[in-house]
Amino acid sequence: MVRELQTRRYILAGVLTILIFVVGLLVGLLIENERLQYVQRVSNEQRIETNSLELQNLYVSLLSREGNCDAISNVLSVNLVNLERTRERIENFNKDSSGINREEFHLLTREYLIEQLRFWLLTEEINKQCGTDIVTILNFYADSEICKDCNAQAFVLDYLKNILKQKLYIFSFNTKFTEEPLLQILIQNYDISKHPTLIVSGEKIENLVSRGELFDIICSKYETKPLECLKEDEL
Amino acid sequence: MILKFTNIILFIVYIMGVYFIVFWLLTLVDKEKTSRKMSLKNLPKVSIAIPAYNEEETIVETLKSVINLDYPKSKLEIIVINDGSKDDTRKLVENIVKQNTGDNIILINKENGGKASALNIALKRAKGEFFVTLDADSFVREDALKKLLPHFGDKNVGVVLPLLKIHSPKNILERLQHYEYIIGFFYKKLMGKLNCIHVAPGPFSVYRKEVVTKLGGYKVGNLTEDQELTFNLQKHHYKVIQILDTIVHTKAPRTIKSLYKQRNRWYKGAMYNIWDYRKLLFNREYGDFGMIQLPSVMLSGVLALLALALVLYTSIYPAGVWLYNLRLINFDFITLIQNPVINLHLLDFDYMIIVTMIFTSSLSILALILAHKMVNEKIFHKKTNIVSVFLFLFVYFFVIAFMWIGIAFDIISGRKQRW
Repeated sequence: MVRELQTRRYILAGVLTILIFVVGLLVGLLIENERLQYVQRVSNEQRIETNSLELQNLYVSLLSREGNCDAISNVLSVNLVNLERTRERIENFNKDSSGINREEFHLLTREYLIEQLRFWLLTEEINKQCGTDIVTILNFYADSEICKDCNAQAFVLDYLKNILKQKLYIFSFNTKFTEEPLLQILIQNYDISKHPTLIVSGEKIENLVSRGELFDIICSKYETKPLECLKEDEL
Repeated sequence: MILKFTNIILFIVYIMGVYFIVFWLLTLVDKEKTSRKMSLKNLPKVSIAIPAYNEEETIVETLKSVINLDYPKSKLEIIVINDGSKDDTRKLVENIVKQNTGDNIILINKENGGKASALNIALKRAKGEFFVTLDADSFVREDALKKLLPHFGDKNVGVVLPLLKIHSPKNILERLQHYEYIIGFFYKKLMGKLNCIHVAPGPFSVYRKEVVTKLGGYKVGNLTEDQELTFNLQKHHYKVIQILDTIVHTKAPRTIKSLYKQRNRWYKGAMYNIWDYRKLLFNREYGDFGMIQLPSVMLSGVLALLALALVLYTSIYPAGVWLYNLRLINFDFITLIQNPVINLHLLDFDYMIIVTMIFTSSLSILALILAHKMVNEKIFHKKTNIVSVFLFLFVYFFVIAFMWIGIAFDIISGRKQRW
C-alpha cells in the first residue's frame, strides 16, 4: 500500500521558500547599496569640510590671525565627532555586508582612513598654530576577530571623550591597511606590534587600559590641568 | 564571498524553518476531506482502561467523570489497573466500586510494572469493541464517547483523539501550558489533514481494540508507550483522527522541575521511537508521515537548540560585552547618561534580525489567534492573561529550548546504553 503524498505541496512550499529568500536577499542588497551610497556621500562631504578647514588654517597661519583660533577649534571638534561616527558606521556596514561589495567597502574604508590621517595632521598643525592645550590620542586597533580588547578600549575612549570633550582628540586607525604608506610609517615610528596600542600625545601605551589609569596619563599631558582633571582628583 | 560555518548553520535553520511554516500554512488553507461517519444506532461496547500509580489525589474525580459519561452502562466497562500504588489509590477505588455496583467497574491490582504493562493487562481483559485509555489525572466530558465514536466510519481508522486542555490552570506555568496545548492541538488538526499525527496521548484516546491487539499492544519499557503505539499504527497505515469538539481536561505539571521531567520523558521518548522506526523516515511508502512529519519531529529539538543559540548569541553576547565595557569605566552611568550619544541612522539597523523577529512574532500571534478560533475559545479572559499571553509568545519557547539542552545531553550520554 502506498500512502498519499502531497508532492505538489512539497514543491510549492519549496518554490515559495526560495521566493521568500530571494526577496530577502534582494532587499538586503538594496540596503547594502543604500549604505554604500550613504557612506560615499558622507565621505564627499567630509572631504569638503577638510578642504575648508585647510583653507581656514592657511588663513590663520599666513596672516597670523590667532584671534580666529577658537572658531577653527570649534569647527575642528564638530568634524572630529562626525569623522569618528562615520568610521564606526562604515565598519559596521562592512561587517554586515554580503561580501558582494567587498572591494567597494575596502576602498571606502581606505579613503576614509586617508581622510582621518589628513585630519589628524591638520589638527596637529592648527594646535601648533594656535597653541591650544589639547591632548591627542592615536588609537591603533585591529578587527574584533584579532583584537578582543579593541572594542572595550574604544568604549573607554568614548567615555573619556565624554568627560574631556573638546580637550581631547581621538583618532582611530585600523592597522590592517598595510597598503597605506603613511599608516605604515606611523606603525613603524611608534613600533606598533600589539593591539590595542594608544599614543597619548606621544606616549605609547600597549594593551587595554582602564578608565582611571588612562585618565591619569591624559591629565598629565596638559600644560594647565583642565577642570575635569582636578574634579576627578578630588573624587 | 566568505561564508563562515555559523552563517551556513544559520542559513540552514532559516531555510528549514521557513519551509516547514510555508508547508503547514499551505495545509491550513487546504480543504479538509470529509470522512465516512459511523452510525451510533447500535452503540458498540467500549472498555475504558485507567492505569493508576499513586493517584490518590485525582483518581476519584477521574472515575466520577467516567461514570458520568453519557453512555449506556451495559455497553461500558471500566477497568482500573492499580500498578502497585503505595498510597491510598487502591482503597479509594475499592470504595467507588462498592458505591457504584451497577457501573461495571473492575479493579485489578498488580505489582508495579509501568504504564505499558498495566495497559496490556487491561487490553487482555477488555471485552469492548473499542478500547479507551484514560490517565488517572484526567477528566472527561459527558459527551466524549458520543463525539469520538462516529469518526470510526472508515475501517482503517485506528484511533480517534479528543481535544486536551489543562485542568483549571492557576499558576503561570499552567497558564502557559494551556496556550501551548491549544496551539499544539491546532497543529495536530493540521497534521490530521495529512494523516500525520505522531502521538495519541494518554487521556481518552479511543482505539479500535482488535487493531491494538493485532499490533501487540503497548511496548513495555518504552518511555512514551502511547507514542510508540501511534508510530506502530502509522507503520501499518491506520488512520489517526484528531477532533476538537469534545474536551478532556488533564493535570499539568505545576513546577518547572516537574515540567522538565515530563518533557524530558516525552522528547527523549520521541527521539528513541524515531530511531526504532527509522525505516519510515523519508520513506515514500509512508506518505507525508515519513516525508515531513517524522523528519520535523526529529529535527524539532535540533532546531530549538539552534534557535536558542542564535538568540543568545545575538542578545546575551552583546549584553555581556557591554557589561564588560561598563566594568572598565567603573559603571559610571552618570557620565554616559549626561552625554547620550544620539547617533541613529535608518541604515544602521540590522534588518535581518528585525525581519526575523517580526516574522516569527507575527506567526506566533497568528497561530495563537487561529488556534483559539478553531477551539472556540477567547484568548483573553481576565486581565492577568495579558501577561501569560506575552510570556507564552516571547518567553515560553526559551523555557522549552533550555530543557532541550538537558534532554540532548541525556540522549547523547545515554546512547551507549540503548543504541
